[in-house]
Amino acid sequence: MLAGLLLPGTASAAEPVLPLGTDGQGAHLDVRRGGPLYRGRPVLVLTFDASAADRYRQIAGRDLVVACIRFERHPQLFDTAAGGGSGQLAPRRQRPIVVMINRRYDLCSIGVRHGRQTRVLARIPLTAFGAQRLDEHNAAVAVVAAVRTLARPERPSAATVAATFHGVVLTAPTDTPPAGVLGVYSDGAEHVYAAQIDRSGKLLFVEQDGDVTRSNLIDYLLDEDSLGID
Amino acid sequence: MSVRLLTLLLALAAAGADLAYAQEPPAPLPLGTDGHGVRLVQRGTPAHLVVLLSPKRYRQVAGRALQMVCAPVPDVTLGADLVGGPRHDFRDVPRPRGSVGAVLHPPRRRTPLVTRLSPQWDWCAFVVRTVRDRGRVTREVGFATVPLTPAGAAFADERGVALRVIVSDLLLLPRPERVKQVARWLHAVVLSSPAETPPPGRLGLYSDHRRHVYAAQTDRAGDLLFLDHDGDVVRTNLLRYMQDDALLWGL
Repeated sequence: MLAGLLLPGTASAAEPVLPLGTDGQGAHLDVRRGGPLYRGRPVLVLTFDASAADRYRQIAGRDLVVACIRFERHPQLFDTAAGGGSGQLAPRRQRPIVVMINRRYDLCSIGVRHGRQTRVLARIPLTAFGAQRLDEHNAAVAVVAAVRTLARPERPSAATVAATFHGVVLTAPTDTPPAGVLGVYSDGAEHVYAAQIDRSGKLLFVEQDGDVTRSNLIDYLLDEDSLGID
Repeated sequence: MSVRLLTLLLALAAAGADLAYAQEPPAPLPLGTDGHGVRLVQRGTPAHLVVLLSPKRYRQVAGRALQMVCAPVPDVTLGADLVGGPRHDFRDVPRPRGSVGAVLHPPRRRTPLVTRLSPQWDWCAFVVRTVRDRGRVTREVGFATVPLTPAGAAFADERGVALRVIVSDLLLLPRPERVKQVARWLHAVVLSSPAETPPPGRLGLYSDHRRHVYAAQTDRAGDLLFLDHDGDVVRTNLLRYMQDDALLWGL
């Protein structure tokens, strides 16, 4: 999945495509040296800055679920990535929360458990590779949602779907949308297409022409948890 | 993923998939029977389904629990939002959407098995359930699939071919250089390119021995069902089966 179409003039994989250690909305996950309980090993500490006090209220006193994953750098078909998780009650008053020992994870998700379901509040990349996967995930989710909307039985127009997803209308499936912007195409009948270039320059697309589907997002079309942490 | 492949292989075996296909496309599936001693007939007013089994097939289910599920032909499109979330438990055989079911308890002596199910469905399927202590179902083995309408027969045939194409593709994907070995095991033909069409009713496999894998077969209606993996790009007309486990290998 990672060896995709790289367009010229886009970020290389070495530069993080998203800021590391934060979700950009006030939640931070830092690696710090653990106390005696952790025998000085590096631990992940969850903090919320002052501007995110209202976000902290969503977890205060609740069952906090943190899941982290380290992706395979050269995945084979049946490889599974290594991951870890922790669950604890978040303190009612805002303070740093030691969530788990850091094992060089790429990406973590912060969620709150409601009964048997977990609601994800933030996904925080810890490495450049994790940031790239998270950005690809965000773009892929938008592409799949757009093409499913285009393929609805009532066949909404490409302009309607583009307005809904803040995207642009493509004149043909061979057109490439501007970087970071969702592009949609529909012939109003059987042929629909949605594509977006993620920040690493990879073109993510789904094309449905009659019964035939063509895509490089098959995991997302199959509704499999492609990040492995939610 | 490996659990899923194993499950699909077991389903393929349990479905009794006919691995050696004839050169000519076979005739449409007969209605009301699986062709191997299982018949479904309509009796009474209001009409209900009755299961008639040959002596040999009856011995396989006598004294055991027989799960029966009848369903309409699903109408699934990419935008229909029929797909649920990811399913992590592959132990239970999934049930198709919109289906009705009944558990039959055939007595030791052979007798028609009367159900309360109406005959309005397109197809019915049976599994033999093994129930152990505290009523827990520990094993379900495919027993028969019986089409009731032409649409149901077409669906049952297409589903069998789809299962075969998808499983062969999954077998080939991790080791694309072993295309001849996989083709021999599945009684398939090796194609020289993905543009080539396999003989009617015969599975065709292609591999460039690197990242391009292709599997295709025509069903009884003459439609070519295919799955093409070229690097990370997938092209297929079997997405609805790949999206829904119940559609692919469920009852």
